[in-house]
Amino acid sequence: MGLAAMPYLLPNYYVSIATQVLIFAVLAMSIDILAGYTGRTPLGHGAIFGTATYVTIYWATTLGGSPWTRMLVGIAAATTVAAIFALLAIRTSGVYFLLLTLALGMIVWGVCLRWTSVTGGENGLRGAVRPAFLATHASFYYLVLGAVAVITFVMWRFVNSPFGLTLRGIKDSESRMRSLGYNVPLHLFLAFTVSGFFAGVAGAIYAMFNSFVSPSTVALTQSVAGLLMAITGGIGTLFGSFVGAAAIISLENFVSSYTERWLSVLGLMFVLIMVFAPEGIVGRIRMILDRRRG
Amino acid sequence: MFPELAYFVIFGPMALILAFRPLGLFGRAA
Repeated sequence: MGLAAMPYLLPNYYVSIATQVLIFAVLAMSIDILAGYTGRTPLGHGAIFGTATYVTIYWATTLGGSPWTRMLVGIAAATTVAAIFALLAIRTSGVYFLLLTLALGMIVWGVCLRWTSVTGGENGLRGAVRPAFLATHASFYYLVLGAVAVITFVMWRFVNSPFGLTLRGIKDSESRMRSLGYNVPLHLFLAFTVSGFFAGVAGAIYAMFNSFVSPSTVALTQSVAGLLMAITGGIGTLFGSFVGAAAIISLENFVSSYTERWLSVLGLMFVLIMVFAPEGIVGRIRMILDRRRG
Repeated sequence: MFPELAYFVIFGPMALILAFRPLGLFGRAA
């Protein structure tokens, strides 16, 4: 109810921040599918997210078409990139998976930075992706709220489906799942591709939100930010991504207006969370509630 | 020669090595 009433209660600046929180929560949830439910921590989802943004805006500025076609093409491009990443990465695990996804993300960043004729290089791409009826902050916020509600429900069903339970089994013991006859590489490939699909959805919505994309959108910092949002909220707790995204984006926007050293405040927050609540904010709350029940 | 490929040249080999030798170039399973 509070989320629905927000545009009527708060100025447009706060509505814009809330919209950003919802978009990056989807990115964080997509990372949580791999990190929390499959046991593979990726550092390349910023590149997948940014690919959707780049393709959506490029399609809008160069090829025209309806806003929904642009978004679908952007999501398809991101899913394709995720599938390519998955084919290369499924044989690795742990720190090697992290490094490989980092390297693949850096390749995408390098291409976006250097291919100036298509991506605009450091200048980026600017394009009006939003249709006229979504021009106001409130109308766009409601669209994003509705879309994110549907996406969250689909993701929740996905991780609680038999396929999702198989992923948890793979996270617990890959060799056990292999000996039980499960096709572990195929499950990992599909999990990565589905995760990339949702990251692409977030990227396409971000293209509508920002109407501008630059290499920083596909950079390592974007991947790290998404991962930190998932960790802060609680890895393995899908809804923790909302808490993590809200915490980090609020800190970025509000603390920076009071001090130049807002990055130090952000870093201190992460240190405190890792020391006192390593399972994340939502994970910690769940632990406390379980202890009281039990 | 091709500045467009600069980051590909740096991170491409790293990605290929890890893709075909998941435990690193000289890595061995424990």
